[in-house]
Parts: sequence; structure tokens; C-alpha cells
Amino acid sequence: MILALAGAAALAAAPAPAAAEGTLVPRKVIALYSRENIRKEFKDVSYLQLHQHGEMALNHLGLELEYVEASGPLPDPASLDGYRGVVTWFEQPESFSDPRPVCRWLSSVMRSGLKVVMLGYPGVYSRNPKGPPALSPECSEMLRALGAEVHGAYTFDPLSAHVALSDAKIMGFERKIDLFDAPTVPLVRLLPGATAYLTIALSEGPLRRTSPVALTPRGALALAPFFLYSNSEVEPAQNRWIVNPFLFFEEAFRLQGLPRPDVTTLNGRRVYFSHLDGDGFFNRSELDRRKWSGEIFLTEILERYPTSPFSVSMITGYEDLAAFNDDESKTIIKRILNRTNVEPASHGYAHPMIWHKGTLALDIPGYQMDARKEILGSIDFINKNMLPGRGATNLFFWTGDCLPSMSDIALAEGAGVLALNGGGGRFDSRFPSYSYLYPLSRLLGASRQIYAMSFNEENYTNLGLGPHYGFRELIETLERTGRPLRVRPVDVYIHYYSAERYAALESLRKIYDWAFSQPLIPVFASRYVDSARDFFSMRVVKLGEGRFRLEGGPSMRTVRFDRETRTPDLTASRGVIGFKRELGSLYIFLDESDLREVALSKRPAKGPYLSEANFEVFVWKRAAGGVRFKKRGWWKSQLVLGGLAPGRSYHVRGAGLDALLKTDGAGMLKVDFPDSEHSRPARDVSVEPAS
Amino acid sequence: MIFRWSQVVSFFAALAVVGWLVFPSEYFRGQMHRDEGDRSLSIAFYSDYLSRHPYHKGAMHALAQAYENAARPEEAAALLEAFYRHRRGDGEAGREVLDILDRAKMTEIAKAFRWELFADLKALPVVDKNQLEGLLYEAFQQATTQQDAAGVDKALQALSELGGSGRGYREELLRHLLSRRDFSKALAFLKDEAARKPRDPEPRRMLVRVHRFMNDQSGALASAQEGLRAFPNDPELLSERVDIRFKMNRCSEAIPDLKTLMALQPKNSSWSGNLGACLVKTGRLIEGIRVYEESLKGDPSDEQRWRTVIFAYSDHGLHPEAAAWLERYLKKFPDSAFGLDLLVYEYEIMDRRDEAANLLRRHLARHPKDPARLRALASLMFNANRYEQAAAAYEALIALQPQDKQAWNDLIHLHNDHRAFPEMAAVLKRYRKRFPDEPNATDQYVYVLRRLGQRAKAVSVMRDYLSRVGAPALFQAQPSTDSAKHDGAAPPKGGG
Repeated sequence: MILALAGAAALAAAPAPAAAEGTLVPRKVIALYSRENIRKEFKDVSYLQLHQHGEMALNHLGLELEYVEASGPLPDPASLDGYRGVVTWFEQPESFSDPRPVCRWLSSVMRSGLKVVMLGYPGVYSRNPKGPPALSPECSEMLRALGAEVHGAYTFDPLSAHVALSDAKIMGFERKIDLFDAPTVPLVRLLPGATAYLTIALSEGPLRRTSPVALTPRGALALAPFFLYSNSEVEPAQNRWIVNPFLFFEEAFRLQGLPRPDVTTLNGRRVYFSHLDGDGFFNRSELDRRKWSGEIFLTEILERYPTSPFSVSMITGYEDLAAFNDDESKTIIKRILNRTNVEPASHGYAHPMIWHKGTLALDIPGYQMDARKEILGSIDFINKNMLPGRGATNLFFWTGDCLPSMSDIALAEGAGVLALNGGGGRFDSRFPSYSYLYPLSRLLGASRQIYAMSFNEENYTNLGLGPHYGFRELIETLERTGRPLRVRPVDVYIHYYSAERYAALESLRKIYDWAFSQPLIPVFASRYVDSARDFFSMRVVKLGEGRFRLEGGPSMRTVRFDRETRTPDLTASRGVIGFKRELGSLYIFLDESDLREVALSKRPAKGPYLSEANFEVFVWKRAAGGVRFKKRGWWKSQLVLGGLAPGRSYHVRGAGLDALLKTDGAGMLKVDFPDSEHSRPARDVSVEPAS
Repeated sequence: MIFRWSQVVSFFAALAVVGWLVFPSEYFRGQMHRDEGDRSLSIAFYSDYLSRHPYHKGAMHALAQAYENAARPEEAAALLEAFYRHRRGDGEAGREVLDILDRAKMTEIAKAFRWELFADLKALPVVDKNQLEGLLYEAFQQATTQQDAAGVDKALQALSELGGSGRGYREELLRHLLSRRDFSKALAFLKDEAARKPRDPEPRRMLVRVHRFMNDQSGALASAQEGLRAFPNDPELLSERVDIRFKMNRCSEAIPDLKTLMALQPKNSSWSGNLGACLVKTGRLIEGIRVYEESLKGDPSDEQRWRTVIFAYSDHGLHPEAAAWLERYLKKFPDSAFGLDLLVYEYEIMDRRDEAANLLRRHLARHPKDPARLRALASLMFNANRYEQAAAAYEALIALQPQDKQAWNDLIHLHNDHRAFPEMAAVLKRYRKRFPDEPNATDQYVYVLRRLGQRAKAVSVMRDYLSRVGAPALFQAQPSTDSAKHDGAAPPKGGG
């Protein structure tokens, strides 16, 4: 008997062959939507509430959405192996002329083990010209399979209702539950196994208790009007999350304890980049009427902040317009694009304004919209004509409405172009909600458009009509998106016309002064695009409890564990160079390799590790009680190492430093370098115990 | 004349233009500074100008504009506020202040200023209601969005007083107060509403409801009384008063209201039901039952009204009357299980068991597979001590539902009661065949075999049983001495 038990224990301790292979952690979620919900002529998913408000939170949790039109052919549920579930956010109670196929599909998806999360309206009521909308048997059955019976909606008397249960963790996130907001409630009876987050008691009506927000055995639901509050009676229209989308989605998709690839952070610092669209270069600046805004931008910003990186684009079509094709402008453009702190980029040829219609900002004789010329042609022109003596660029900033078609995006992707723009968002006292933040990207078929991380000054200045100092409000968004949750990198996204007016330029200086005083890690925009692309390409494989293999996505160099109390076991992990516990999360820093493994342990980390750096780190090697690595960065370089011997001296050599520095009582070593590499090649650094 | 008149006019016009260009007015010279860099010249110029021409409208605006263009909107806001205060009541200037406060994101100051502007505009001899409503609506929506309950109250109160464009602000205010359970304000509002709308019973009804929601029955009653003074025949107020009096256990005071309600709404049977119930409860039994009967005459097809009459008799021990009404009821609703069961009960309680049995047999003739009535018949015969008929009924029930253990047990019990041990043994044998190894049935079987003198068979049955289900530990340890004890196992229920 004892032998048998010992044998069993040995079997349990030894890694089973299947466990060694690991289990893929699905990160994809199907966003099932109805075209009928898009009340625009151009039926693009970017107009959906799920995209505009909800997807950001899902991205923050490490998930990616794939939009599938519900009336079109739906994927075979048996083929959805790499998917975590399905999310719906129908925007009308009756979103389909015939919802039955959708309900049948959702039922079969649930049967295949995927979670279904229903937001907003159930959307699957059948239209009934003679009476109130009704649920078909298929849809009732689907809702029952989800874990709830839905009995329509009920308009209640305020004396007859009160909140019977509200889970403080999930509900009342940005707005307290207020029945005054909601004269009508969906009537939902939960089936056994479901957990209500919100229950409203009604003293009259067909159902005396309704639970419109709940976790169910096969997913979750958060129905309107208790999910996201909206008030379009005020200017600007206001949204507030009633449900905490981060915790709700984490519970709904069962994401607790899983690593989230994180684009916001690099080496323990929040990522900073600034990118500029080429519009307004030729506007005369009121700071000096003899000069273009482009030249003012050069002298007042690019030359004023020489140790900070800027990704700056040009609209190449101006070269074909006689009024702008002069030596003076060519000289200024070359001075800008050939600066060491500038990463050149293209902002199109004739600057498409509405991509799907082909309308253009520049009226160039004989030219009609041609996506190839806009994207590839303009980059080629810059490389050939504007960048003498420096490497070619492959960076493109989408123009106009920033809604390129699938083929436009595919064209850029196919040519290896790194493209950015669209999306954005703000989160300040005018728009005080996470719901105003766009997600990381827009996926059309297999092509993905990476979004900018902030709105540019147009959004703050009423499309340039004023107030011209409005962009200073960006600082509030940057602060709010940095804590208490870090959901965004810092992206200062501008145009040349920020240098056209004094007030605009003052605001921009304020923003840069704020950014340069923060503990950030500055990078070029292309670096951000790389990491955002790799956010989606990284595969997470679970090897065991607290052990994960991260496959692919070498530019994605941070994974985050929320509310994790353990630390990485640096010996058992692979490709892990450091970590930092911040904002209630454990940020783990990865090296540049393609295959990394993270093993968490309850024991403190052993040996030196990177705790914080405002520069990029490559070829990280631990040796003889110290570390060697290459560094490349901007601003004055700062480094914090952990896991060293407390109170001991270390010899730091390289990158302009040769000094003996002492660790503090916790074994942390703080290093301030005299400068940084800027655009120069990476430099070697070694940190070794002093003999 | 050397020149034509047109030439003379043109000359002087040109002279004026040149003069204006060469010697522009001080104010115009200021205008020329507007688009310059950091606006320092412009700001200096207009500040100086305003020191000599205080509150000059154009200069004030130009200076404010210069401040904004110099990215100093806070100073522009202070200037425009000062300008407004100088021209208090100027709606356009007030709007400009609100706009600059919004642009400069001076939200709290804007909130206070909006109310200041509202008070000023309201105090004007000619009031622009639309302008006031616009201001208040903004305040209301902003307060709603910010979940500022006091702000919502204030804005809605002001909107309600204003009258406005016909939007239901008063209803909205009431809803807001009620949803926040701010009953004192809601009551005050409703009293005011009742006074404002003397021909509308709704505020008075709502007053009663709010008092009742607060569990203030006397306040509710007083409000209902007051409402009924204004609207004596309002069914909702009457019904509220009835309800309150029932709640206060003073239903006799509700009788006049109930009679009025019966006259107002003859089709609503609940009034007569309540009236009858009140009369019955207050000891006026026959009077109450008459009310029920009258109500039944009003709609003989209403089964509920029949039941009310029948229960009134039955519950008060008037079984012959109850049975008579039940017989009439069953003629009208021959398939009613309720009627059949209750009539059987009434016959039984009056010791008219034959009539009860006949009633059941007639029913079973029509519905031979009705186990509930078959059981009722068996039970009836059992209680009447009619052994053979009871046994036959139970056998029929068992034949119909062989898995019905209750029926088997009742039959065993019946045979045991009548000391019909052979029959009992036969039934138990059949029972054990259907439900083998039940300890109680085995005990009973052993018991009855012993009563029949079949001791050896009883031992064999017990041994056989123990060999299959296993003997208890005690039994295994001391087989020789304890076997006798177990042989005399506890007698079955009813056994001797």
C-alpha cells in the first residue's frame, strides 16, 4: 500500500509527457456582431460599441477580438480550438430579422466548451409586428444554456424597485447603480449555478427579482442599462462603466492567474513615444509669419529636445504641387528627417481623407486615389529623395479617417510596412471613463491595423478651430491611463500645425515637459508598433501551475500577472531578465528571444535581475554574481538592478560610466549613466562585484 | 468747374481711406496686434486701452481673445466674468462666460456661474423662458451624469417651477425623489402638485401611495380622506382607503366604500369578496354570505365566486348548506375535482358516507383510472369500518398503481386491524415479491406468520432475509442467544 502511494506520488511529481507539451491558453475571442447595429453608411466594425468601449479592457487582459458578422457564415464550433469564447454586444433588442440561426450557433458554441459573454442587449428577440418582440424557442434555449431565462423588459414604478444585491467588486465602477437612470429593466431569472452580480427586486411585474449582471456556468451576462451608462443629452455625450469591465471580463472568460502580454511597459517603465502626422507643414506660423509651421516645429520642438525621440512623417504629394516645391521647404524637410532624434515616416502621398471613398486632402492634377502610391509610393519617395545618408524607413501613419480597407492594410503588411494610427481615445474630466479609450487594433480579415494610443490635438482643438490651447488636456489622459491601472503607453500624437499657433505650441511644450519629468522609457513609434504586433502574435502555453511558455512575439517584452504574489524563479525561467511589482501587478521583463518561459515561485528571486531601466536591454547575461548586457536608449539613462548582495560594492563599467557603486540594504543597485545612446549603436555594460 | 462732382467725391473718399490707413484709430491699431506671436503687445495694448475705457465691449473681447491665444484662458475667463458682472443680466455676455469656462475646463466655477446667470435672467422684467430652460437643462443633465443628487433636485425643481417647453420635468422630479426615497420632499412636492392641479386626482393618489410605502397608514388614510373630499367617487382613492382600513383591522369602516365600489365597478368581484369577508369577519356571517351569493348571481360563470360562497358555509360549520351549494356547483362544473373532493368531505363530516361513496363510485364509473378518488373511496370505507369494500378499493388501487407503497401499507394495515391474518400474510407475500428485502415488510411478514402459527416458516423467512442482506454485528457475535430476541421483532404498526 505504502509502495503504491509512493509510486503515485512519484508519478504526480514527474512531469507527464502531455504536461511537458503544455496546453495552449486561448487568447482569441469571437466578437459576434450584427451589421444592422452599425447605423452608418460605411459598415465598419470600428463603429461598434464593443470596439469603441469594450475591446480595450479585453486587450488589457491579454485577449484579442475577431469580429464575425452574425448574419454571414458562422465558423464551425468544432473548429474553434484556439478560441476562448464569444462576446456579443448587440445594440438593439432585435438585431436580426431572424435570430434563430445565431441562437443555434451560440448554443453549439457553448456545447463545445467555449464561454459566451452577452453584453448590452441580448439582441435575439424576434420581430413581431403585431405585438412585443418575443424569444423563439431556439433563443430561449440558448439563453437557458447560458444559465438564464430572459423574460423581456419591464418598465417599473420607482416605488416598486430596489437594488437587492450589488457585488461591490464588480458593480458601481465609474457610476453607482441608480434606478433613476433605468426606467426599464431586463427581466432575467438566473438558473442554478449562476452567480448574480446585480439583483433588482421588483414589488410588481411578471418577475419579482431580476439579475441583469451575472456570471453563469457557461459565460456571463451584463445587460443594458446596467453595463455602460450613456447620456447623449449632454455635450459631449457621456459614458460611464457601471460594471468594472476589467474584473467582469476576467471572471467571465476565466482569466485569473494567466499572463497578459503588455504593450504599456518595457523594463519596468511606462513606454513613451511621440509621433507626428505631416499635415500643416506649410501653414504659416503666427510665431513668425515668414516661416512654415514645419520650420517652427523643427526649431521649437525637435531642436529644443534633442535627446528625445520623435517619429515624424511627411506628405509627399506636396512635392508635386508647384506652390510648395521650393528649395526652402526641401531644405527644412531634409533638416527634419535627417535629425538623429527623428524617425522618418510617411503620411501618404495626397493624404486620403476617407479611405473607402478615395477622397483626398491634396488636389494633385491628374492623380486619383491609389493605395499603393499612398502607402508604398510615398515611403519609397521619402527613402529616395528625403533621406540622404541615412537608412530607409518603413513607417507609415494612416491618414484622414484612418479607416483603410482590408486590402490597404494587407498591402502595407505585405510590404513589411509598420503602420500606425486610428483609434486613440481620451480619459479626462471631460471624458471621465475608460470607455473612451480605443483598443490596440482593428482587425479586418487577417490584416491588422495598429491604432495610435492617444487622440491627437485635432480632438482637443475642435478640429483646429480652437481653443488652440486645448491639447494641454492630454496630460490628464496620460496621467489617468497610467494609474491606478496602466492601460496605455504615453503617446504624444501631433501634427505640424501644433507649431502654427502660439497657444498650441505652448500646450505642446507643457505636454513634453510633463512627459520628460515622468519615469518613462522613450522609444520611437516603430518600436511601439512592433510590440503591438507581437502582442497578437505571442502564443501563451501553460506548462503547469505558475509555469508558462511564451512562443513568438520577440518584440513583446513584458508580460503582466495581475494580483500575483509570487515572483519569477529566475533559474527555472528562460528569457526572463527581471521583474517589478507595481500597481498591484507583477510585470515580468523578457529578453529579445523568440521562446521564453516564465516560472513563478513563492520563494524570493535569486540572483541579479533588472528592476527598472529607461532604455532597452539586449544580450542580458548573468555571470559571476553580476550581469552584462547591451543598452540603447534616450534621455539620461537610469537603471535599477535587484537581487544583488545587500550593502556590497559593484563595479559598473560601460556606456560612459566606470564607477564603484554600493547596493542598498535590499540588494538594489541604482545606476545613473551620464548620457544615453540616442540613435547610436547599443553599448556594453557590465556590473560585477568589486573585488 | 475743373472737376466733376464724382471726381471730387472720389478724391475726398480716397483721402479718408489714406488718412485712416496712415492714422488708424487707437482701437484699430490694437486690432492689428491680434495675430502676433505670444500676444504680449496685444495684451499690453488692450489692457492700457481698457484702463482708459473701462468695460469697452470690443476691447474686453479682444483682450480675452488675446489671453486665449496666449494660452492663458483663465485670465480670459476672469475678464469676461468681470464684464458680465458689469452688465449683469446680459444673456449673451453670460453665455460667453460659460463658454470660456468650459473651454478652460473650469468646471466648478462654471457650475456656480450657471446658477448665478439663471437667477439674473429670471429677475429680468422680460424673461426668455427658452434661454432659462436651456441653462437649467444643461445643469440637470450635468448633475445627472455626475450623480449629484442635490444638483439634480435643484435643477429639476427649477425646471418644474419654470414650466418650460412641456417636457415632463415635474414627473421627472417626482420620479427622482421617489427613486432616492426622499419621501419628505416627494410628499411636499405632491401636496404642491395637488394644489396646482385641483382637477387631477393623480397627485392625491400618489400621496396615499407614498404614505403607504412609508408604512404610515394613518398618514395614508388622512391623505385618502382628503383626496376623497375632492374626488368622492375616485375608485383608486376608495380602494386605497379600503385597503388601509383592512390593514388597520378596521374593515367595518370600509363597508360603505366597498358598497360604493361595487356600484362603480360591478364587474369587479373583489369588492363583493372583500365586503363579504369583512361582514363575515365582524360576525355578520349570514349578511356576509348573502353578499357572496348576490355577487355570484352577478356572474354565475365565475368559479371563484362559487368557491367563496361554498367556503363561507363550510368554514363556519354550515355543512348542509355547503353540501347543497356544492351539489349545485357540481351540476355546473361536473368535472371539478375541487367540488367532488369537498362534497365527499362534507358528506363524510355529516356522516352521510353512503352518499359520499356513491358520489365517488359514480365518478369512478366515468373515470376508472383516477387513483386519487379510488384512494378516497378506500379511505372512506376504511373509516366507515367497511372492511370488504375498503379492501376491494385498495386492491383496485394496487392493481392500478402497483408501485404505490402507501396503498399496499394501507391494505396491510386494514387486514391487521380486522385480524384477517391470512389475507394480511397473502398481501405481504405479494408485497415482498414486488419490494424484496424491505426490513419492515419482513418484520411484518414474520410477525403475521407467527400469528398464524407458522413459526418454522417465519424462521426460514428471517434466515433467508438475513442471508441476503447480512446480519447485524450483534447478531453475528451471539447467534444462539439473540436469535430469539430478533424472532420477536417489533410488531408492525397496529399489531398486537
